[in-house]
Amino acid sequence: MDKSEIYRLELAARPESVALARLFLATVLRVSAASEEVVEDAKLAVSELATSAVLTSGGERLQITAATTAAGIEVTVEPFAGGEDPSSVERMDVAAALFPTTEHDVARRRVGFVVDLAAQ
Amino acid sequence: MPDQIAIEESTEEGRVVLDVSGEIDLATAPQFETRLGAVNTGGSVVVDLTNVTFIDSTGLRVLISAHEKATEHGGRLAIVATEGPVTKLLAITGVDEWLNVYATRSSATEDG
Repeated sequence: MDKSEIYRLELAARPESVALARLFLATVLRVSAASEEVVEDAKLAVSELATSAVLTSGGERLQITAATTAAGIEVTVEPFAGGEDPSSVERMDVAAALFPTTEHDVARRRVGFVVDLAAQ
Repeated sequence: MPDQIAIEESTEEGRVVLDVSGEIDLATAPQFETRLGAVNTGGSVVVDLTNVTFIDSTGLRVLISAHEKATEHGGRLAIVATEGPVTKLLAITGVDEWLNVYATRSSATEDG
């Protein structure tokens, strides 16, 4: 895969979109030769973050981006208001337990993590 | 999209058993919660998640509140989960320490 590939999925902010976010990321990771264990972990992490995004979107559309970088596949979920969803802390904790790179960029209203394919 | 979850109800050894298959997330958790709430009324309930291919913390919250409700009403909630996405989430969150989790259906229906 080309190092600079960027895949982006735009979704309506509704509950059914969370499954599509998982499917999208799983497909990108499988194309990138990720192991099934990594795919399963990434599905869980993106599901947690996309759920929080849906719950706090205020009607804005959801964007899931997977970009290939030197560090691996960089996954971003936006818009992400975080604190407006009372459960977002535990959702982020689950994502961070799987991917320690999980980070909430408050200023840019987005959250993301890096899937390090070299470490798998 | 088609329904991502299927729930079948039966009775085994005097316990209500809910056989869940598919994915439990923000879209399907309400259906899971409704079905579980209807049978979780103080008796012994077994929730078999062997065929659940995905669960996140939205689904986990349903299990935790059902466990608390069962305990409050003098009942018992047993969860069946084999090695996979369900046990992984339970382990990450640490709730496997206090939910009643069994590796097989027979051990869940025999215990308690």
